[in-house]
Parts: sequence; C-alpha cells; structure tokens
Amino acid sequence: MNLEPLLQIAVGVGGLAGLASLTGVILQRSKIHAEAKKSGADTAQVLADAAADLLTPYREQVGELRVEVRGLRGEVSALRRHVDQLDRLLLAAGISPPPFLWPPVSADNDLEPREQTNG
Amino acid sequence: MRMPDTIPARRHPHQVFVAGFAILAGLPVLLGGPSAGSLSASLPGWLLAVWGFTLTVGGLAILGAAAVRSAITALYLEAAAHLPLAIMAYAYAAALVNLAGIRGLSAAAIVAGFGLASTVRAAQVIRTLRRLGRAVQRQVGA
Repeated sequence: MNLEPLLQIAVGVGGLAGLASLTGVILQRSKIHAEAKKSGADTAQVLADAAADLLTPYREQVGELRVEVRGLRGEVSALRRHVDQLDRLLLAAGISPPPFLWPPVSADNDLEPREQTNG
Repeated sequence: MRMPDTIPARRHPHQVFVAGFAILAGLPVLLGGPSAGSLSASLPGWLLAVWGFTLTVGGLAILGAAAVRSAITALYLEAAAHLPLAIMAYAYAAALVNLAGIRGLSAAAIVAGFGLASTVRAAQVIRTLRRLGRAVQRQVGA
C-alpha cells in the first residue's frame, strides 16, 4: 500500500498543529494575563501565586520528609552516643566490649516491591 | 506516599537529549543538507521543509523550556512544542515503514516511541496548564 499521500497529509497536519498550538498558547497566556489584570492585581504576582498553589503539595510533603529525616538522624546520633557510653563503662569495668555491628541498611527500605519507585 | 501529579519535571535528561536530537534531524533539512531518504522519497520539498522546521523549532522550544527560570514559561514552551513534534515523529515512522517495510520496523518503532512519549508529555503539560488557569481564577476570585 502506498502511504505517500497519507504521509503528506500527516506532515501538513503536523505543521498546522504547530501553528495552532503556538496560537493556543499565546491566546491562553493573554487570557490569563487579562483575567489577572481585570482584578487589578499584579499579573506576575498572580501567576507566581498560582504556580506556588500548584507546587504546594510537593513543598509540604518535602518539608514533612525533611523533618522526619532530621528526627531519624537525631535518633541515630543518640544511639551512637549510648553505644559509646556503654563501651566506655564496659572498658572501665575491665570487660572488653563486644564489637557492635550496625544492622545492614535495608536495600528496599522495607517497602513492598510495588511501592518502590525511582523517585 | 504518592506524590501529586502537578508540574512535571522539564529538565529530564532524556527529554533534553531527544530535543537536541530533533534539532539535529531537522536543521540539516532546513539548511538544504542531506535529509532522511525515507522522507525525501515520500514528501515534496516544501513539506520536507515544514518537517525540518517543526523539528528544529520544537526541539529549540523544549531546550528553551529546560533553560528558562520560570516554570510557567517552560510549560507554555512545552505545550507549543510536543504535539507537533509527536505528529512529525509518527509521520517519519510511517515513512520508514513505507519505504523499508519490515526491515525498517525497529527504527520506526523507536521514532514512533518518541512520538508516543511526546504525546503523553503534551497531555501532562496541557493538564497542568489547565490547573494553572483554574488556580489563577481562584486567585483572582479570592
């Protein structure tokens, strides 16, 4: 089957789609600007606020995770201090402390395979 | 925990690479250099130029989206670029199959895959821009 006429139409449509999407983007942008202007607000500010609105869920979750990680780091540091303290006490009592082996880091972070993502 | 599907990453290395590749494919055609044999066999000169122009401008727009600071400007650039690029990729894939038949199938699948990826990305960007429009309306209405 000869696809040439279809190909020519497809490339023509692609070119027109390019023009249409460019026009659509310009129209949508000017519409958003007009709406922002109509309210008397600073357009750039409204757009920045709207973008922040969209990004808020990410920011909140990233913030929560950071707090969680800070807490975990604090716990690990406290555990290390306790282990050192125990070692010193054992040495003072003349007992050689057993080597403390930190548990291996879980390769899958204790997640089910379907929960694992590449971030 | 599921991350919300909001503004997607625009600086993904694969996307930037493919954008550069689109320019590499389109620019020589525009400058009168060699073009893909399958396309030049199927298209008249002016449509070949349209194909090269769309690939070059689309690729530049996506590279621009990765370069600009404003996430909103980047979304607009991507919204303008992805769909035309997808159509041109499908056309190229079809031209490959048309000329080379079954032998051109694997190359055509890669090019069509680029088109499919661009289509999905266009849908993501358009959805995000719609959300942006609604967010602006909420801001203005508030």
